[in-house]
Parts: sequence; structure tokens; C-alpha cells
Amino acid sequence: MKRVSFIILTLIMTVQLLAMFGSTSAYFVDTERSVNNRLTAWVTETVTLLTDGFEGSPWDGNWNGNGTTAWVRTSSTKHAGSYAAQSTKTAHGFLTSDNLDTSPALSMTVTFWFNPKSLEAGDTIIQRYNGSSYVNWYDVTAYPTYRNNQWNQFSETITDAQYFTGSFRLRFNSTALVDNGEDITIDDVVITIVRER
Amino acid sequence: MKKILGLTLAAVLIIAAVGGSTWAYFSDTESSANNTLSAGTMDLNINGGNSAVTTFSVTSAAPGDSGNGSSTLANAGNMSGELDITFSAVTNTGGSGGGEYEDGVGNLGAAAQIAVYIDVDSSSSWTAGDIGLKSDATIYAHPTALAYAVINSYGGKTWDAIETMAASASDKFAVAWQVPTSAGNNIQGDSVSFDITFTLEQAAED
Repeated sequence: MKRVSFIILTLIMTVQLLAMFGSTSAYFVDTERSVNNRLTAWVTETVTLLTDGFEGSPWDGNWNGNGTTAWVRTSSTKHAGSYAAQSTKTAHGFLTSDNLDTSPALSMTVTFWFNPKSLEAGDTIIQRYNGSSYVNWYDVTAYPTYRNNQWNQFSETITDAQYFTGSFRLRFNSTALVDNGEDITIDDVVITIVRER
Repeated sequence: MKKILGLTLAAVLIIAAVGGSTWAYFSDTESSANNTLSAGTMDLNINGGNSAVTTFSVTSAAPGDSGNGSSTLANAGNMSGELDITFSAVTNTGGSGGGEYEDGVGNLGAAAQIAVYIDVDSSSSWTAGDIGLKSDATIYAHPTALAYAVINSYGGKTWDAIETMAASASDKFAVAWQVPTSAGNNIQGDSVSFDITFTLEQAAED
């Protein structure tokens, strides 16, 4: 009798389970997919556009494409190597870089060393060319690292897109340097840009 | 004797005939024909078809960049259904192109963010009536601001019964992405990817 009851109970449970799961899996379902959704970050690289310690020949080969260089080369004061560029009362005016293509830049860094001697405000202005005009950047005497008669490092990063042009120029303007005993010496100019690879 | 039997049989037949006409009550008959049982259809389409699509694919994303991608989901069947969405695991791949900052470690999924929502009115923007999918597998509604979260946090999440899509209804599934300006150089060349599964099912099923 017990055996019969057990068999009947098992049969009932089996039927119920089949009913539950059988019907559930038989609901209507449709599935679609969106695949290969991807976000990829860019890759940047640093490119050097100008590096000049005024050691080459001609010494102003990277600076004579935009007018006559008013500055001279000196070996008496230099930051590294044998020479540097210098402006004095008798050699004052512009030291202007050739055109540099900064158009793909995401940022640009300008670095150089300068050694001022008894400069007055306005004697030497650092300017940037944006493709149409020169814009004053710094008066050397106002630069934070300025110390008279010592080598000081200038290092600035430009993110202003107006200077990302096919004809960027860096210009040292010493037209006002006219007094005796004043001079400024520049060495080891490096201009780099960061661009997308 | 044979004569008696014959007469009796004749009498029985006559009585039967008379009695038969007496039993003809009123009656009428109609029929129900062409009784049918037709199954409904449950057919989810994505971008107008049933093949896998790619909702967004972005190259060269940089800190500060943002954008959107979307796919159109349509209930092409004749039954309403509940929409479920499941994200796959997120795969991070490190940049290995030899770039200065490519370290071979996939960091983008921990930096880049997405906000995911059902663009119910297909306006291509987060507006009233739209349904947001949070990275914790909950949903929220406009006008709560879009909830951006890092892509890694969406991995493996399922949003169940997000909405009921009526037959012939269509919505956009939208992914808004952004790379925060705080993302560092260690994401350079990295990529992050994932798949998404959309399921339309009968409301009774969970």
C-alpha cells in the first residue's frame, strides 16, 4: 500500500514540476545584441621643433628666415657648449626664429636659458607670433626666475590655440636695449609640441 | 395463423408511423465554424533588424571629450513585452603601440564614464519620460540628472523589466560617454569594450 502511495505521489510531483518549468520556458522571448561597443583613448607624442645652442654654422641658421638677425654670437658667456646668442647696445633688435609648424599641437613648451646684465624693464621682450602678429609674452626683467648676471631658465607651456599655426615664431625683441653695460645672452632654446600620434 | 401475424405486423407499422409524427418537437440547428487559435509574435528588432549592431565605437578619445551613441529598439511583434538589458563583462586593453605613455595596462574603463538610458521619445537627448539605467542596476527617471559612472562599474549588470514595450513601439537605447579632464596620461592608447544584450519577453515571465 505504501509503495503504491509513493509511486502516485512521485507521479503527481513530476507532473507538477513539468507543468511549472515547461510552461515557464515556453514564454515568448526574443533577444538582440549590441556588440563591440568600444572607447579608445588617443595616443600623444612629444615632437621637438627647435633645439638650438647656437653652435652650428651659420650660427643663426634657425633664426634668419624672417629678417636679418640683429644679435651676435658670443663665446664669452654661454650656458652650455661653446657659444650663445647675445644682444648688446651695439647689437640690438630682433632674434626671430624661423617659422615653426605648431598647427597639430595640443600644447607647446618653450624653454631656454637667459643671462641678463643690468637690464631695465622693456629692454628685452619675449614675443610670440600667431601667424598674423607678434604678441608680447614676457618682459625678461619680470620673469619669475629673473636674477641679474646669472643663468635663469625660462620654461612655459602654451595651450592657447591661436599659437598653433603653421608659422609660429619666437622672437626676442631687444630694440630698447641701448644703454652701456646692458646685455642679455640666450642659450639652449628648445621648442616642443605635444600632438596626437 | 399466418394471417393474424401479418395483420399484427401491419398494425405495428401503422402505429409506429403515427407515433413517429407525434414525436417531431420543434428544433433548430446552427454551427460555429472556423474556430482557430493563433499564437502572437514577440519580435525585438535592433536598428531595424535581428543582427547584432554596435551602438558606439570611438577612437582617439581624449580627456575632456564626450559624445553619444544609440541604437533603435523596436517591438516588431504583435504582443507587448518587458524589456531587459544586460551588460557583458567589461574588457580593458592597455595601449601597446610604443607611445610614450602606453604602459600596456588598460586603465580607460576606470577613468572614462558613461550614462545609459532609454530614450523613450527618441529625441536623442535626456528628456522627460526617458528611463535612466544606473550602474548599480537600478533605474531612474528624468529630471534626475544623467548619472555618469565609470565604464567598469556597468560590467555584468542587468536591468529587469525596465519598461513594457507595446506592439510596434520603438525606443532608442542611448549611451552618453565622457572622458573627464582629470584622466591622466596612463589612459593613452587604452581601449575599453563591452557587449549589451536586449531581451523582450512576455510580461508574465521574469
